[in-house]
Amino acid sequence: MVQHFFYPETIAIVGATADPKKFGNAVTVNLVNNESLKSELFPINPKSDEILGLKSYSSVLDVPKDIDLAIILVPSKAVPIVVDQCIEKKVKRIIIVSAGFGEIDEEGKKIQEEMAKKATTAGVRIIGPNCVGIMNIDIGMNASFVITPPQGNVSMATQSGSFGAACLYEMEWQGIGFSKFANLGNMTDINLTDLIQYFKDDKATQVVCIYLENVVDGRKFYEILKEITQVKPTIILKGGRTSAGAKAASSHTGSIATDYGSLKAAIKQAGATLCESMNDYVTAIKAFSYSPLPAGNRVGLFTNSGGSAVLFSDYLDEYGLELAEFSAEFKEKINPFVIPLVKKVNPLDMIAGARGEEFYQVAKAMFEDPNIDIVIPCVVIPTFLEMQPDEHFKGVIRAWNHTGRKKPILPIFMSGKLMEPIKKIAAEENAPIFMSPKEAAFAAKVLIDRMKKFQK
Amino acid sequence: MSSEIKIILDNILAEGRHILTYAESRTIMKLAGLPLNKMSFAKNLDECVTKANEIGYPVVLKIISKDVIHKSDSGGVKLGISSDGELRTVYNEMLTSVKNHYPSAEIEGFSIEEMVEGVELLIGTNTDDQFGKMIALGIGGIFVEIYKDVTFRLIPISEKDVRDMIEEIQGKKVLDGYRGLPKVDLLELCNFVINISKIIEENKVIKEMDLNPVVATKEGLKAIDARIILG
Repeated sequence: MVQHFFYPETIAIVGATADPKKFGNAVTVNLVNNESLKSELFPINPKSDEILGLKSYSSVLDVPKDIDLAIILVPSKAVPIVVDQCIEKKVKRIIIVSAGFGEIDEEGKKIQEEMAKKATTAGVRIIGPNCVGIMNIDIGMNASFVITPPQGNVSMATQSGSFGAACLYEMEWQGIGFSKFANLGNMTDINLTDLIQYFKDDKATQVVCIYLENVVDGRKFYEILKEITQVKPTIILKGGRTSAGAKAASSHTGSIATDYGSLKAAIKQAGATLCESMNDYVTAIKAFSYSPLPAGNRVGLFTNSGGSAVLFSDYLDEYGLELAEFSAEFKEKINPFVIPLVKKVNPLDMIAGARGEEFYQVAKAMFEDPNIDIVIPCVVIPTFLEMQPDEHFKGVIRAWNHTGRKKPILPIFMSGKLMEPIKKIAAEENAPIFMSPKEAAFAAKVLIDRMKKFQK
Repeated sequence: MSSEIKIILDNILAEGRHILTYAESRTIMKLAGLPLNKMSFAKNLDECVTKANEIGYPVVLKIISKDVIHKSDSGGVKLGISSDGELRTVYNEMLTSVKNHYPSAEIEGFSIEEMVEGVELLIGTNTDDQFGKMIALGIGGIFVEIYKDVTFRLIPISEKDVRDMIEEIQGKKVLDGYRGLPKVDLLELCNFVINISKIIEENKVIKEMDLNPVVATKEGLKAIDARIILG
């Protein structure tokens, strides 16, 4: 049912325009200018013969081929006519980006419900209206007006288009890649439960994330969420938590946010990762996107910055982490790679002069040590002793690669704009970076929580 | 057991009532195999004394009257009575005080209850518009509305769910035997909560159930108040 939205062979862009001043332009450009997209595109605009080098048609009915997906960008008044034409044309799936329906008033709600009824009766399914659109980065399709993120294993469902975009931008900036993205808008037909059920079965999706304001059928949502968490980590950020938030959510997507208490309970009971802030949300997604699950909660922390390790240790209790005890064998193993001044205790403060090669050796020893479940290198990029800004990161990732990426690595790198070269390597190596001790501690917590879920 | 519960609840609904009396709530609890503190009903002072001796001091004396809405505020509840003499004094004071607050109240009698001490918990259920039957577990007692240290789950629940709920209680440390209070038997608590979950599953007509407090005593859990609402 949802699959067809994400894998169309032919796409009609209704309201396509080359004029950057028009709203439909961003969606048109995102689709047309993506060279990896193999689907055939048909711009629909009665006022043009050609749009961005493609032949334009005055109506979907004029397109000489069958259409799998129609994206509707025209003003709300014209939408019902276009939907009728799509039904006549036997278009398989429709995305209505246009706003001005159930989120505005009862009349708008009636119109969107009528469209949905006509369409579903004819076997046509609708996403929207009032949404930013969808993406399938695996096939190079960006049918939205959000920028195209890199390809990856995360799929996101979001009830807020703009906040979903904000998360996507933040994730892109932090190096997290996407498989699929969808904003469902007013959910007149396809709802959140339908979408996440698809994510559950979609092979390319390995991590599911949801920005949630309300659910339509709580019990059904809970049952499906429970199934998904059995096979894929699922991270949820819930908006509309306080009554003030609930009010904002209501005027926002046209529905009342359900009571946070019961929804929160359902999310936890279903085994999903519940996040309270955008920062936690992105951190948890990053953790699951890059890391295998740990075997336990014992972390091995090594650093060139004692203070940062202290900050990390502050979160041990709150997040249920444990510092691994270094065995005599381990101490022996790392002895050649630390200066005599270094106390061989966890966290291991290797002191500011420690180099990339030493970080490689210690990381490797930790990956090989049966008493350590999660490896956390913590680095303030040195600007002295002729060290390269990226040598520590390169070292620890090399150790991760050499030991088969079997344990989670949560590298903390804190250096403002010196991060740029590190981010580049992280993208090339398909490895994560965490920006603060708290982030890495939270990442460890969510991985451990999920590990515990499968323990008995 | 479950069929008997069903019959009682159906009868109450047939009478057009939705709120169970204290006695009815206790009967439901008993049928469900949920532990309660010892309690007897007495009509007058002599009966009170006899029953108190049967239960064993210290006891709690409560007035029973459907006209007395706020029992505690009107002096209708007295805890920790330790002798026949004290009981006689308290009895007379209670009657006077309640009559002052509710001059026309019809007094049906008194309940004499075993005084129990330990960690006070809240176990309850409600019916949510979105998720249906839910169960709550948290720190109980008179401050429950202030601290709101209560977690929720959807019914039916598993033992793992109850263990997660316990982990989520902010004040969970008091369950470990804080300052000489008895340590809460977590397995017993799990079974108690699962039992409630089952009763609600079998009797969907129960809209809300409020057991506050359930006291974790040295001998185990004992519910000392029960409020059941149908809907």
